[in-house]
Amino acid sequence: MGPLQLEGFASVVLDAADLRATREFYSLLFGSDRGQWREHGRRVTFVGGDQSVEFVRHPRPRTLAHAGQHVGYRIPRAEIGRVADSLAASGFEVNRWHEDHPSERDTTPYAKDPSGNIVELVPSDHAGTLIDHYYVPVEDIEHAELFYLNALRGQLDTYFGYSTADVSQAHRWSEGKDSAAPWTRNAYVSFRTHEPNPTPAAQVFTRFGEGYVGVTLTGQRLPEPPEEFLKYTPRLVFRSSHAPHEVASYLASVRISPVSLRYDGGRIRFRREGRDIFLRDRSGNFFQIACAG
Amino acid sequence: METAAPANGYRTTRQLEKAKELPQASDALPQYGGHGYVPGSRQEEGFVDRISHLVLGVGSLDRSEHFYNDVMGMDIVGRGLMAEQRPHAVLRMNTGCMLVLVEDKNVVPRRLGTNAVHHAFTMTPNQYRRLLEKVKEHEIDVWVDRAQYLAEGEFNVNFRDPDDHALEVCCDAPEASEVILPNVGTIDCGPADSFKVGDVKLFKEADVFLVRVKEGFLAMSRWCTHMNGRIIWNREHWRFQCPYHHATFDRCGNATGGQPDIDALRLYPVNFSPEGHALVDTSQVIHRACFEPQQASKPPKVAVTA
Amino acid sequence: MANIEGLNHTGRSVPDVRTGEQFYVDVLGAHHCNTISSATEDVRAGRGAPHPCNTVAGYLFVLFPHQDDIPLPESPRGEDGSRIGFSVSRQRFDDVVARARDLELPFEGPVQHPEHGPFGESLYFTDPGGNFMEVCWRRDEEVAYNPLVSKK
Repeated sequence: MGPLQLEGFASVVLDAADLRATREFYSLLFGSDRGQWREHGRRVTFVGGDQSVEFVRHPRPRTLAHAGQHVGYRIPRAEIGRVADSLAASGFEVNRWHEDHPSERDTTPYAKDPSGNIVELVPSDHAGTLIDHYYVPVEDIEHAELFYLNALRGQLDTYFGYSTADVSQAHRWSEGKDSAAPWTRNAYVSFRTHEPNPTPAAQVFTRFGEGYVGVTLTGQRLPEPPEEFLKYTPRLVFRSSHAPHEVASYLASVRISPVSLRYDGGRIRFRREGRDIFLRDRSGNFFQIACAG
Repeated sequence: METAAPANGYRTTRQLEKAKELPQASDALPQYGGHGYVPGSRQEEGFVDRISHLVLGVGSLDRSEHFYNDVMGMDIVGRGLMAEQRPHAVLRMNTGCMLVLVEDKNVVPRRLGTNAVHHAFTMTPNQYRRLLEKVKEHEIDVWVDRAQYLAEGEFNVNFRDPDDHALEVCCDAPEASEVILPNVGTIDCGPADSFKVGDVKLFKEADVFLVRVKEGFLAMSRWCTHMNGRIIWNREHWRFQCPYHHATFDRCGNATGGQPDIDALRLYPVNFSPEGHALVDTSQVIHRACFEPQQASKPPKVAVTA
Repeated sequence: MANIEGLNHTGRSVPDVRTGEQFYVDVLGAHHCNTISSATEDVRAGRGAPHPCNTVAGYLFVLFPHQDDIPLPESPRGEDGSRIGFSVSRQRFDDVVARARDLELPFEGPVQHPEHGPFGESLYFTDPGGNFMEVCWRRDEEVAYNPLVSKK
């Protein structure tokens, strides 16, 4: 096969403590005419067009919300105010923040679903697609960049956090003059000056088809599931037109590492289950590749 | 490394104390270039061949020439040796690197708006010891910015020259790359069957991590194979990490990132007592490039009860 | 003998460390080593925006973002505080000048130095942060100096 190509997002799989409450929340978010709900055992899935959002019942949902993990859902531009108001009226806290991807420079509404998963309402003229972007925190941005660009072969969209202009934005944020989402800025005390050092979170945005994955260097601790775990939640499901054996042989051949290693390092660990491939980045963000039959 | 803070700014006791620490007397040439990278390790033919010189603007040529000769230990080559209209002096270091001082009425040590501009020099342990005597003699304010990032045998000091140029001197002494032995003989780590596969336990008295992997037991030295930094077990990421220069190692001790081309963590032999205790013999060090299954010691199948 | 071995590294700033490092890699043939402040532990230590480390002919540059927008210098030759000089062999110097032209790198020179000094000719240019740089050939290139590093 040629280089791996992931055509876009098929779905996201999230934890939910209470499936009924989850369904109510997302029904407010998506409305009634964008798709339909399916229930199967400890899961409920909202299917809209060729994408879906699946919720797995879990008593202690793993959300990584403390580090800013979130999903940006497309909401018809004309309806975004009404949807945000209806979430607020139902008792959900709605915040308005902006982020650093070029399409997110204006503030948009954010809410937490009943399990604590962060949801971003992305105003869109193409709301036939549910998932606009998927945003993950990582603990090593150099390694992550290699994973998303060189292993998953996402197309580089843009970087943030590496320039004077970006650092200036963080200073404005620290003065209360900028409404950046909290996970995009840090102000830890500098080991050098012993004073808070306002810093933009380094971010890499990579495009997969119509959607993009935002990867951010987090200042929060990210307890990872053990490295043996390859299938877990939350996870993003990519769609690929390659056959599973092609994707598997590609992944088996990939080696990524920011530095040269003496052993056979930089391997991508993955597991194949039927038509699906399960894998993770080094920070414990989980992915699935739904391959062609 | 980041040395933009004012010389008279707040310094922790650790930053001030660390600046007084001395390497053991030695004329050994530096093995590292500081901060973990190995200069000269990648010398493919590029645009340029080698570092040649640093040019600094100075307010008084006499004053600065004296500072770089007397305090920094450079040899004076002479004045007026460059195609430069203004008064200037050339000084030389042992590797042939030159320092050119150019007299200027308005010296700007760091352009307004720049960040972390500094220049670092390399010294042998004896040169470094002499430098610290000189800075004391001249009552120069010295500190160590990166106090918490210095491994054993890695010495560093920050200060300013008479024109406020930010300087750093690095000395990576032989202690940085010596194999450190714990000198505690054989240690009893308790019953082998109390370790599950995947367990990692630190025995501080020996600076040893005992790890049980599926192939058996590994007793790994806590000293990083890059420079002598004590690694820590980073529980949330299931790996070992050196807090000094970012080297990371997996549970089998393989180097997984942070520093290029370094060996796996060093091992000590693990034996088992008749009672089924894991015994680590810290008198023998086993060097290895990477993990191989036969390095792990298999515990006895059935623990013998007394 | 002097009481100092040599230069070790230089920290300098540029408007954008990613494009800045690209200049070092593409034009000067730098080798990317690693990036300081690219891990959560660094963020928590307040180390600021990532600073890439790269070596040019084995010499380490650590790049930081400028604190403020600052104008580029008017001329490629200056020291404005400091300038870093590299050398090439006398034979290669003309190739370097030709390569600088091919790359459309704004430069000044070659400038001839006095014959009684250690420098032969120099070419002056700046990096994307307006930091001054120089390439020269040296009349003392045959002198047996201490090695820049002793191999491990």
